[in-house]
Amino acid sequence: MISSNTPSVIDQRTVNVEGLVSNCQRLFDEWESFAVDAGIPADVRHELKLAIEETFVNIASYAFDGNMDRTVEMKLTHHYAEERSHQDTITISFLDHGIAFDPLAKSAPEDQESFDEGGMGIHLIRSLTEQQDYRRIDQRNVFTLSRSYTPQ
Amino acid sequence: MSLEISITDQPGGLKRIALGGSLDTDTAPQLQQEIDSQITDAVNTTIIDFKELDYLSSAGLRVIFKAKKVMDNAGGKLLLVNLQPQIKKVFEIIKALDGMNVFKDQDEMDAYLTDMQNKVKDGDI
Repeated sequence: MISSNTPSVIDQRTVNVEGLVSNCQRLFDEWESFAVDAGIPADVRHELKLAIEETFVNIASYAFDGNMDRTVEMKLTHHYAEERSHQDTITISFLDHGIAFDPLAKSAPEDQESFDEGGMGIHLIRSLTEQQDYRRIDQRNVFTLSRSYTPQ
Repeated sequence: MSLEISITDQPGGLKRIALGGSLDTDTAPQLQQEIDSQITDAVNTTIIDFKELDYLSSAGLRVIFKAKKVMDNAGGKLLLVNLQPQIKKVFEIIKALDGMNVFKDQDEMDAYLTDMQNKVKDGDI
C-alpha cells in the first residue's frame, strides 16, 4: 500500500504467456516498450532483458510437467525516485503454477567449466540484478528480481 | 530479434563466422547448425566476429563453448574478435574469457595471425 506521507509513483505492467521458450520474444517486446516508456537507460534495459530471458527460459524448460497449467505471468514495476538524488527501482516478477523450484538454491560455480545447463543462467541473473527473491505462495512460484539505477 | 550469420573461407584453413543481431535461446540452434556443418577437419582456425552482434545470452555462450571444444580437440584454434562492451560483459560474468583467444579488433587479430604464420614458416610450430 502507498502511505500518504511517502508518496511514490509507480508504473506497472503485467503480461501472461504460455511457458514455452518460443514465447520469450513476446516478453522482450513488452519489456522494451515498458522500459522505453519509463525512460530506463539503454544499458539497464539491455541487462534486464538478458535477466528476463535467462529466468523465463529456466521456467519454461524446467517448471512444467505433463498437463500442468503453463501460464507464466511477468509483472514489471518501475518505482520512480521520490527525490532527484534517489534511485529508481525496477522489479520484475515471474509467477507460475509449476513444480516448486528455488533457482537460488544453487551456489555459483567456481569457473566456466563447472557451469551446467541452468547454472550459467542463474549466475547471469545474480550478476545483472541486485536482489533476487524466491517464494512459494499459494501453490505458485514467485521469483522477483530488482535493480536500481540513478535516473539521468 | 533475428541472427545474421555470414561465413567466409580464408586461405590457410581459416573460417570466419561473422555474427549480427541477437544470439539467444531462439537463434542459438541456427549458429550450432552452421558450426556443425562448416567446421570440418580442413579448418584449423575458426574466427568468430562479434562486431554486429547486439545481444548474447547463455544459450549463445554454450554454442561458442562447444565450438571451442571442437577446435581444441582437433588441435585448432578459436579466435573471438570485436566484442562489443555489452557482449564482453556477458563473457566476463561467466568468467569465460580465460583461456579464450580474444582480440579487440581486426588489426590486433591480423597481427596475431601473421605472427602465427611466420612461426609456421620458420618451423617453430
